[in-house]
Amino acid sequence: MLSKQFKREIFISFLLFVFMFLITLYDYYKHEVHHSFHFVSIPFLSGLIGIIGALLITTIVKVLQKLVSRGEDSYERYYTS
Amino acid sequence: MNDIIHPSIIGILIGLIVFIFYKKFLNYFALFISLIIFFICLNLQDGVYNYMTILNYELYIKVDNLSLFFCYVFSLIGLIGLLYSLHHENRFIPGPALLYMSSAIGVTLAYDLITFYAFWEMLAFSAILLIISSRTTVSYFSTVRYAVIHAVSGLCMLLGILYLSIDYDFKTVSTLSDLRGTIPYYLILLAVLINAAMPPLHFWLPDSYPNASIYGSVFLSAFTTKSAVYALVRMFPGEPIISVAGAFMALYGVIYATLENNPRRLLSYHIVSQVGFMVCGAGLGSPEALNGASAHAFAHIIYKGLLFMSAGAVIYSTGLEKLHLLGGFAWKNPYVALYFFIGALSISGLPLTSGFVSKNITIHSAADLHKPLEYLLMEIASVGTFFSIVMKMGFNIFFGEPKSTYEVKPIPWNMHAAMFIASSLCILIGVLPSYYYQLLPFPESFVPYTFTNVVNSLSLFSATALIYFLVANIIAPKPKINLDTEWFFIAFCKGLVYLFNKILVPAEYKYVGEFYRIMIDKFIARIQQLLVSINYYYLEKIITKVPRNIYDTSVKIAKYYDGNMIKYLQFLFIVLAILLIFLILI
Repeated sequence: MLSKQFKREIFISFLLFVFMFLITLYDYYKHEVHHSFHFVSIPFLSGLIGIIGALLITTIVKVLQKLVSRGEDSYERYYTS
Repeated sequence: MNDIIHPSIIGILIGLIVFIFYKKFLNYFALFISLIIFFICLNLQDGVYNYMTILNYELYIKVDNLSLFFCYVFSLIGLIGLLYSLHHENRFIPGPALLYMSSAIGVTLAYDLITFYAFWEMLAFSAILLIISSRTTVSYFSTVRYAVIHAVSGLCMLLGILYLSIDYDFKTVSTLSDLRGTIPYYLILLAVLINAAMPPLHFWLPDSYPNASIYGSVFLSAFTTKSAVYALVRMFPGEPIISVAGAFMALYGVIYATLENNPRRLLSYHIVSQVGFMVCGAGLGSPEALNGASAHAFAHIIYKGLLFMSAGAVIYSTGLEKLHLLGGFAWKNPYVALYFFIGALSISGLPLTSGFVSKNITIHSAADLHKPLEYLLMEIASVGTFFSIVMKMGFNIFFGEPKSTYEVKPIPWNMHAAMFIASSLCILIGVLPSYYYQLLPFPESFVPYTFTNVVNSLSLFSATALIYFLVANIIAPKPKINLDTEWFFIAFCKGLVYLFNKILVPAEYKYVGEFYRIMIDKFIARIQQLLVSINYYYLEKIITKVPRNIYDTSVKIAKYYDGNMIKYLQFLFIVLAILLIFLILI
């Protein structure tokens, strides 16, 4: 299921991801930041939102595709008849 | 004596002339007029001005920071769009585009509700001309659906305004917060939300914008929804329903965008999503959130115009409009790829682009106002934006192997120039936010470039990129169409037709018809006898003479009228101009 043809891109984006994780940890321990909610103080929250959000959107899209996607030839049936 | 010449009146008059007497050289004239309107907007001073008096009813415009902010961007994108379409010969582009731009400026400057309503309707009318600009069967059907839904919006607006004027003696465009809970409040809100493409009443947008010509789409992406955002900020600040609804709207748009295979339909769903951020900002209602909504509307108009222009350039160049057929375009025209990615990174909100300095104001104010739901939904919508535009659309059009063989046509200089200007604006706003914030309607203290903000933004997008490459096969573009909420309306109408055909028609034949026959046969028979006698004695003579005379006259008239609608319009326009001159001279 995973996209094996993008091995190089996966490797590069993984390195970037780890780098950002380390920078975030540095920022978390070195900078005093005012947080509006308690959960905003979780270290690397943005990265987590990125992972969870992207997986959530992929899952919803996959389910929705089964419900609402039709072949291109159906366009006429729905929209111009 | 009137105080000011309304810039929209100039645009509308010239737009009509360009539309009716269209020749290709008028493209340059329309561009010149849009430049003049842009400079007029730049020189407007704060205040309330009377611009026209009709039947003792004085019409006003109001110039303040909010209206000026929207005026600048409307006139600017009109100028850029007309530059983009300069080489293209099509009656339905420069004239209607001027009308459309002028109507949007008219909405933002309107002070009395009559002016507001007139320009609101003019927006829908000019948009219809732009949608039909591609002159295809699908655009015709989309135009009809667009007209129907905007007729509903216009009717709600008219009823709301009449109700306000008569029952509440409320005649100016200003905040309606005190009237919350009344019927006109919700009628006007509904009208505005239809124009803002709020789900489930958003289907007209992804239905019509991709079916217009590539030039029409650029204008369509800018005016209708953003005029609605202006109306929300002006009339409904702090409406709690729309803050949550806007945040859901932001997520809804990106989910459908991720499903799409048609690049312009994908971008249309992103309008729904990005307008969601603005609607949420208007709903949050604090000065910072209203600034966020306005700032994001401004930035969005520029980068969405840029994205539609670069998608249009790909379609113009290749003749293809499906993601599953494209690929590797960046090696064939790297400039278009560069323009596209500047727009795509801006809409995603990456640092050094306009989206970063505008979108984060709303997200930050949601956090400041302790609205965790809105905050999280907007953050996830940002993930989806990067996921679908930069990764899915960008990767499938510009990188990888081409999935079909296609020829590449060179792109005219004016298209390059328009995309270059829009790209430069995206970068300039992102790099120099302090100048941008000075234009905002309310004082702004948000500082976008803190270490934490930049790191958070890059963390979000690096994580999204990693997940995209892991699941790219799962969400790869497929040659499919996706039904949206319009399905319910289609199903409802088909159900009605079924009901008529299967139940009502047979019932009418079997029962109602029989009933009528017994009841009125005798009466009809009497009438028939009477008509026959009249016919025999009087009509017979007329019938033989009148058609002959009509035929003879028609043969004479046909020499002058050949059924060309544009000729009629030109004739009508000339007669009206002569009449006007005559009236002025008297």
